[in-house]
Amino acid sequence: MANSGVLNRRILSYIEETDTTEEIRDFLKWALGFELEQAWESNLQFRKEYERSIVAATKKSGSH
Amino acid sequence: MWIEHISLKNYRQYQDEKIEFAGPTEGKNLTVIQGDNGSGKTNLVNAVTWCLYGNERHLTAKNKGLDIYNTLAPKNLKPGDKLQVCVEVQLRENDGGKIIATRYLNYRLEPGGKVVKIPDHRSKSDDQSTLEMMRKIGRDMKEVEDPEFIIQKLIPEQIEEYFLFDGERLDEYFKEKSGIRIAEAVFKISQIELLESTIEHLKAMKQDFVKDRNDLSPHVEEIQGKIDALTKTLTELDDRRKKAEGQRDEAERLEMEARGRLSEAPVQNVGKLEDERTELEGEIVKAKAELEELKRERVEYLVATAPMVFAIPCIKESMELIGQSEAAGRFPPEYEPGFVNKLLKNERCICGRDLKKGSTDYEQVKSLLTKASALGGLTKRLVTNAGNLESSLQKVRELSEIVTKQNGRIQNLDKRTETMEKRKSTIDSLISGCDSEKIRQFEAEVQEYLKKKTQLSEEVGKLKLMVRSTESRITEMEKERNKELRNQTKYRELVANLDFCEDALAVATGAKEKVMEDVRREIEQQTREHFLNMIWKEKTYANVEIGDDYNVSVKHVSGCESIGTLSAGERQVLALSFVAALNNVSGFDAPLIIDTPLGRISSEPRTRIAKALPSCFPNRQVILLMTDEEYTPMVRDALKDHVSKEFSIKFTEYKDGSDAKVIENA
Repeated sequence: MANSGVLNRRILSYIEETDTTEEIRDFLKWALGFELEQAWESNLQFRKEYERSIVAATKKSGSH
Repeated sequence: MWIEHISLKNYRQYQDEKIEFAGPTEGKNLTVIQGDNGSGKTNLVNAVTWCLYGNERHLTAKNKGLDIYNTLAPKNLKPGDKLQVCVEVQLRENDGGKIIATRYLNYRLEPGGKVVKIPDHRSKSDDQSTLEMMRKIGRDMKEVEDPEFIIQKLIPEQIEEYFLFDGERLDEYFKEKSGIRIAEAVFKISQIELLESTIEHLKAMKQDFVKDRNDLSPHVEEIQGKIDALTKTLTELDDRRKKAEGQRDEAERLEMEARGRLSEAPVQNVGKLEDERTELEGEIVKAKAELEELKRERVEYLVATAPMVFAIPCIKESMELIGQSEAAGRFPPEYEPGFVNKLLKNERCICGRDLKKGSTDYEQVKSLLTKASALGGLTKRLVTNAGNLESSLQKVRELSEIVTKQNGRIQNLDKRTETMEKRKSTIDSLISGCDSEKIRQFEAEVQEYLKKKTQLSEEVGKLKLMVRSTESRITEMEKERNKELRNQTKYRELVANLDFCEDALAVATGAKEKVMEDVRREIEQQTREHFLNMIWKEKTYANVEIGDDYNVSVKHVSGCESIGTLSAGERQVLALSFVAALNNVSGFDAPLIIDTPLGRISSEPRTRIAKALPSCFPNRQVILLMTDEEYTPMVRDALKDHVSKEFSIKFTEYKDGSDAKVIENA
């Protein structure tokens, strides 16, 4: 998961301890890293990246 | 992580300096760099921010607009020579890793003595400077491809101001709109803004998924229902077709059987033959009646014409006599008695003479009228009779032809009747002795089965068409259903994505609320501890609170709010306490460089603050840049147990520039 190392340990810790799925934890860590890098330059781009990541996570969780 | 060394080459007042720091050890985490105002302390902070971010964040008004290179450096250059400004910061990670960040900016001395910047196409900074980085990976130092990315990982630029800052400016936090500023600081450093951004983006994605889901409306079940109904219809039609085909085949079989029975009969088509015979009988009767009529007509004709045949000599003689008499003018003149009577009545002759009654002429005409009356009409009758005689002769002349024709018609009819009688006789001989009724029954059966077979064949044809049409409709519906199935798959995926989005949103929102509250509470607690530990008015202040709106409140022992009455020094202590809390709560393990940490603090409280300062930043490298006024002997004494290294800046000003040396104190 990109950049998880620089994310606030407190946030990461909360995410890790929350009763949720591994896919959601991984996704949120990815999303926070994505926001941290401000890797999106346009709404289109963030939508594309978010959608890609959500779809991948949902598939991984076997919900599809 | 701590700064191992900072190297400066031709950077502002530093021509060529390298400052080597000691790593923070238990209880010894401070480095003091002492220098007069304007000697270059703040530019050390600038050097670090420039190296890491390509930006000098704390430029004084004096330095703004001045070139970054040391103005003494070009003195030793020849035109065309390159002048490089370079700052290198070597960082040591707690796990032993090493990172060397080097930023440089190249200039060239022009012949006229002007120093111009040399653009670097690799630069990502506005000032054309370039950052390079080497990182220890395993045993080797390797160049990092994207150094800006690594810096962003280590100390994100957004929160750099909470690690590399000017102490004198700290109190600005608590001047105006402190709640907003503090909330902003907390949000930034605790990365709540990242959570906020994640939440906003998740909400946007959720809306997208909802819209996409609503755009899809799967009708698979409805279409499948239609397909099932059509399939049922198809089955029924096919059953009917098969049944009709079976019935047709059965009809054909029965027809063949009937034909078989018929073929075994001695005479074929007995029914037809009988019908023909019946018809022949009728025809023969009619022909005979007609024949009788013709013969009767011939007799009548001969009877009517025969007298004339015998009278031909007399007719011819009479006609000759009439002709001769007419030719001889022996026919009396023809006149009209009416016309003559009219002349007598009018007493005027046609010639114009008077026929006066009683006159001789009148009497003579009257006498002639009387004489002529006896022969009147004779000539006319003679002429008429001559015509009749001629007509009789003509009839006699036509006799032979007419009789021949009549004889021909009679002969033809005779012959036809004979033929028909012969055919009737043949049929009679054919069907005599056979069971014509049975044969006719066979024939009827054949016709019945044939008719039935034909009807069933037509029905089979119609059913086949209906089956094909239904199959075609089913194929179309199946295509539509498959399309809808794909939509349904997409629909399910969208619903799954949406559920995932909502779950992630719930976790992110929960994280935000929890982290905000935890961070606020911890910062409040640490700020309170640091403040009450450092503040010299021990009996004045009782508490520091940070509200839900992040407004900081300093409570007087009496319970009154005191934030508005804090002195600049007290505000700086509060700010220092807050920044210390913020740093410790942030979770980022980054070194601190504080410029003039005690700048606004009066002499007495400095010692107290100095004593408390190390505990504000435990186990973290803190580089303090202090003036002589700050770094008093008492402060030095208060800090000595925690200072690992101590430096002094020796600043020398020349006519064309300045030079600063950082010398480690013995």
